[in-house]
Amino acid sequence: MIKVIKMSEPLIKAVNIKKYFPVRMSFTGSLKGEKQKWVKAVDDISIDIYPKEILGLAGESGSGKTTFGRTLIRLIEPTAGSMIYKGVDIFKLKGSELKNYRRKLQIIFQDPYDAINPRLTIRDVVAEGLLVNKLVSKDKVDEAVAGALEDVKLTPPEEFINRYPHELSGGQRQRVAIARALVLRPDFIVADEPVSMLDVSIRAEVLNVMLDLKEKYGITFLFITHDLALAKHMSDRIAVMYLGKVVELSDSEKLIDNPLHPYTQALIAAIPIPDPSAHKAEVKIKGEIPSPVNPPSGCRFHPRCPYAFDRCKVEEPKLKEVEPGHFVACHLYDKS
Amino acid sequence: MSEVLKVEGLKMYYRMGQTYVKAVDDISFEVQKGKCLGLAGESGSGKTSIATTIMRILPKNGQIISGNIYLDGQDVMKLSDEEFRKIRWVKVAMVPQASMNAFDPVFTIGDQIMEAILTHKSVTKDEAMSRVKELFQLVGIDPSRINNYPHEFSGGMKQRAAIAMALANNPDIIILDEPTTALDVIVQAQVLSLLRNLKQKLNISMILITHDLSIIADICDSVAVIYAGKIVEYGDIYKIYKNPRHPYTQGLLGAFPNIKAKKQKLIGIQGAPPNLANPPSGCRFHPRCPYAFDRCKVEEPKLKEVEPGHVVACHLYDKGD
Repeated sequence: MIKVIKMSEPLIKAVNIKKYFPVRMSFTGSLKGEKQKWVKAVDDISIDIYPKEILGLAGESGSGKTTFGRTLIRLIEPTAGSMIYKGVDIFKLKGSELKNYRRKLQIIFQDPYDAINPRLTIRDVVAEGLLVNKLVSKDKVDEAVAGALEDVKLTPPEEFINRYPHELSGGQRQRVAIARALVLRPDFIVADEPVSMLDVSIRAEVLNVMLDLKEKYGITFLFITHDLALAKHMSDRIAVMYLGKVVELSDSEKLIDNPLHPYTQALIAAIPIPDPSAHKAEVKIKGEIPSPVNPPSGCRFHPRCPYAFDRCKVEEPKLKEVEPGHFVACHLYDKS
Repeated sequence: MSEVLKVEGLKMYYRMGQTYVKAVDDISFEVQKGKCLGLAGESGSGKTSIATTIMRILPKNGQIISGNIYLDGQDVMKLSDEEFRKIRWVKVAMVPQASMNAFDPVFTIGDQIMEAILTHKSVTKDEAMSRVKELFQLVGIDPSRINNYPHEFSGGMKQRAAIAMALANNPDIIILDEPTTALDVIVQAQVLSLLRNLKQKLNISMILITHDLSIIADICDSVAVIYAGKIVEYGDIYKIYKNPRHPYTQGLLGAFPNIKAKKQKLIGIQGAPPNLANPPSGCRFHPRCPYAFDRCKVEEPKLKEVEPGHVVACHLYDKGD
């Protein structure tokens, strides 16, 4: 079964996005005229995100997935590329023009203990964006906040609205963070590992809230996670990142059931299954993810790849569509 | 089969001013030779406190109220601190959580493991060093890296080195506290396969503490599910995963997605884990339990056998007596 993925025009077109961070040089090094080194955290990523989809972005730590998410909504300035949202290049906007778009592009951070100001009540946390953007008049604020809290199942809202963050559990805080994004009626939310800090038993509630909101408001999500099982559960499509590049992109069930890139295959084989009679987690590749300062030549995965051949060492594979909607960047599937 | 470790009715409370936090409240289990027991539970359930109680490395306010701990049949509760110090790391060793980041940055990894050997055995430095090389090989690190400093090791290698250190004196049992939590999935699989190999090769017993039931399924033979300082379900791993009885165990298993299964709605557990200074009456899980009835609020359920090698503490399976 091939699911038709191109339902409509993309909501977001990321085109050749790059984000390089400078590596700090020693003073003597700079006197000697050493070349500036760069961490290529995001290196030329192009991806379309369609309305009302959840795009999972998976990869190990250091693969650049958080940097990509933050660059995409311009929380950090891109090095190159463009981000077309409804025909406008967000990367070219300045000042108040940019501010008008900010509320449409929201983010939920990984750590709900860090991401919420402990001195504000829940009302103030959720209302801040409303007031800054002058979306509602002051007397309507409480109503809007209560609506958002209800949407994230913090009910009854009156019970939460005057409380402080320290009075809430991790799962409740993360739902406050979702409400804070939601109240601005965004089109697009970057959810950066939203449940990885939470206890297992309360993760499901936060995830279910996000799925409900996608249905109710048609919000598009970029769901960043290191956990492919979670990515499969949440996402319509999954993109797998390795050292700043997208190596595979496909419909999520297809990607898990029939992974093409050797890295995706290794990631999936390494996941332990909650069933003692299932096969044991295996390791198909050697070593650990190398430093993005000086990534391997050619295909960045070649030093760890069990199938690498000569071409992989010199030529960088491009992301190509090998079957409808299934993209992979690997010379094994490129017969040219 | 012989029990390497047997814990009976263990209670350890933390004193907090006028109150006690009942972190370990009447816990009993045993670990057989060459077997691995998984302790599953959420943060704050008391699983690490069980480990630190066994190792006798409690903070000042931690008090063992009652219970017995037998190591190889020896009642270690009768030992003085000084006597226990002699068997710690020799009979029972531990890889604490985040110990991979606890190596001293100014000494080489080899020196630090050697120290663990020299403290407990009267051997020469050269003998100790050759033991370190052996250990490196055992955990899959190139012995030529023996003179490296911690910053020269990757996360996975540091975790291997921490395991090597725990194995230094050939303990009968090692306790691993969240050994893969900070690691990426591929490195995690490497560490898990190392642990499976060690278990087989050395016939060593293990206790593996984690919140992740899939890791327990991967290497353990039995599992004890801990909730709010108590064991709620305990037994053979195949039986419990096939037929989880306690609503909390069922909730944990249903709360995270299985990559091999069809997509289905995740069912979370209502509410949050309780405060152990003031745990709920009766069954501690009752405020979050979808099946709770009146009896659960007042009477604490005892562990009862529901099938051979599978015990559950839940009134649903206890037809009264």
